[in-house]
Amino acid sequence: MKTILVVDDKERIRRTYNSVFTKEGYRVLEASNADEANDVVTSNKIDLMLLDIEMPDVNGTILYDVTKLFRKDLNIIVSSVYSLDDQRFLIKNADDYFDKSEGIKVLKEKVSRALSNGKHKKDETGGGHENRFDDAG
Amino acid sequence: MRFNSIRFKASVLYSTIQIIILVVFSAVVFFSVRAMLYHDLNQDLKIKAEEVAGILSAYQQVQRVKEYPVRQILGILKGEGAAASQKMIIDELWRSQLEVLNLKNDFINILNINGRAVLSSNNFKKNVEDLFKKQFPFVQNDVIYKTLTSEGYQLRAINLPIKFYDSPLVIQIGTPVESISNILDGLLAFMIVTVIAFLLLTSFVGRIFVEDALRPVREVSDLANSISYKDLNQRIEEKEIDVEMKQLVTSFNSMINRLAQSFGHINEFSSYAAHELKTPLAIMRGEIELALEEDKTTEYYKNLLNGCLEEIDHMIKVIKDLLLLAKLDYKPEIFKFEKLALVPFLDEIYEHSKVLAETKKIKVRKDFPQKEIILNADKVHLRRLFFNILSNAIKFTPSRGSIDIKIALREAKCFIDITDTGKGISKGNLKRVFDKFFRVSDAQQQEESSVGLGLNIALSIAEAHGGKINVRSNLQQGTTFTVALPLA
Repeated sequence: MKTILVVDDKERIRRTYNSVFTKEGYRVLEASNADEANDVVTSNKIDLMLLDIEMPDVNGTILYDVTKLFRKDLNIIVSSVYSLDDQRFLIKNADDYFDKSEGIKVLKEKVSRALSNGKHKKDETGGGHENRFDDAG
Repeated sequence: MRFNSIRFKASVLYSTIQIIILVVFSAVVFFSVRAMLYHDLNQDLKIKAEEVAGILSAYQQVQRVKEYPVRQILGILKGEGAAASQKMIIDELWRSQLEVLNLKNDFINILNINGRAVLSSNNFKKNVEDLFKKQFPFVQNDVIYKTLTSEGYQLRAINLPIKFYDSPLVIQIGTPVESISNILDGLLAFMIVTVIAFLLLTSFVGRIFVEDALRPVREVSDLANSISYKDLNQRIEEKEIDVEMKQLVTSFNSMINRLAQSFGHINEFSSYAAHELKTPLAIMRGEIELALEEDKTTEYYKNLLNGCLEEIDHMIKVIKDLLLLAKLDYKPEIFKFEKLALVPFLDEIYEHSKVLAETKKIKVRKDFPQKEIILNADKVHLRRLFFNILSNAIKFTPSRGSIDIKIALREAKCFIDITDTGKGISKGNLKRVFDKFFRVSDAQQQEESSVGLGLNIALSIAEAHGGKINVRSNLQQGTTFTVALPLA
């Protein structure tokens, strides 16, 4: 079972996405800020992160850089109310970008595409994803 | 070149001044030279006339005959030579004198008291005689100079009265002014050519100077034309230009600076505003889409609708606050300033905040001086300022904490401190408390509907009153907001 981490300071967003992806058959974890997200990533096997940008204290751009430092192959979809262009400007080279006002149908598509690409990526690198995570842990 | 351009006006002004100066200068030179030449000619004529008179008296002394010299001179002047051989020496003297005085081209006429010519030179023909009669009637007692003009030639003439054998005579001598006219004509022509050449040269050079002086104006307008909101970082170089132009360029550059700043603010602001308004929409959309995926219980739908209502309320609040903020910052006429007694005004606010703080059992204390403090203020907006700060303080102060309101007076200003015993604001966040839509994470969790514009609105109101708001904070001890307002 794939695990998705939803990082968002808005509780109702987390709750909605949790319901959506739980129903889709994923394991869903939540984090309301960068510190929590960091804890979850280091202590759980995460396949995909839905990352909000605008968060109090430490924002998503910093969390992205920090996470990518030790989890290069983690799928991260930036999820914000900023326009897609602005998101691409703020965080470069993310696996995908999602405008929260696009609706959950689009989100589901982007998540499943990212995860199948991720699987592909993992196969290519010979399962380095999991091993590397274990090493890091 | 357009007629209503500064370049044209400057050139015309420059050329006009040049023309006036050159023409006046040339005229002064011309007339001085002319006067000088005529003065010399007059002197010459006078010397000639006096010499003629002298020779007449010399003959008189030698001959002691009344009639002789006149006839002699007449003969000599007529070129007949001396009649008597014993007078040869004197005749020779006379002839040589004629050479020296250069009288050959002059017209000599000697008149008696009745105005009748007693003696004339050979060349004193009918036309010359008429000219003299017409334009230069003899005057018995005065030395007179005059220029006689006839077709084709001009004469300068002298009228000199003398005594001859106790009877008065008048010597009139006319000399052609050809030489002087030639000099003056030459001078005039030279001056006209010089003035025109000088004018052409200076107007050309002047034009270059004017163009150079006005170059920054063109640069300013070119740049102004080329600037759009996308490239507000362009500036005109300020070095090597005149003081007046520097002022223009500096003002222009600082205007662009202000525009760039305003655009920056608007950009930032609209991006924030879009974010603030899109978030509740995203939440509602997600929740509604999720609810529509399958049938739910009535309770579920009720919760959903209540949640949507909350988000709608929040959006309305955001929009209201944004509109207010825009008004505070860009419509100063909404402020109605009047004399306001600060202590009774804050007493009222203090009483209200006690009621608001009661639910969290927060103690509100006041420390107001017992004297009259008068401000020039808009009561309605100032009340909003203090309530925004106080509701913030109540929000961040834990139950059974306290809030102090204190007034202090310094340097024609009053300082109102509002101190809470909340958990304080970190140094990094302290700089951002007046940023639009800034919220510290705790507030987020405690109260979802916080808009994040309250302190911004408070600051705008303080600034409209000529005041400001400072904040200092110690973590775990509390925060003090100080509102500084000028006294009336």
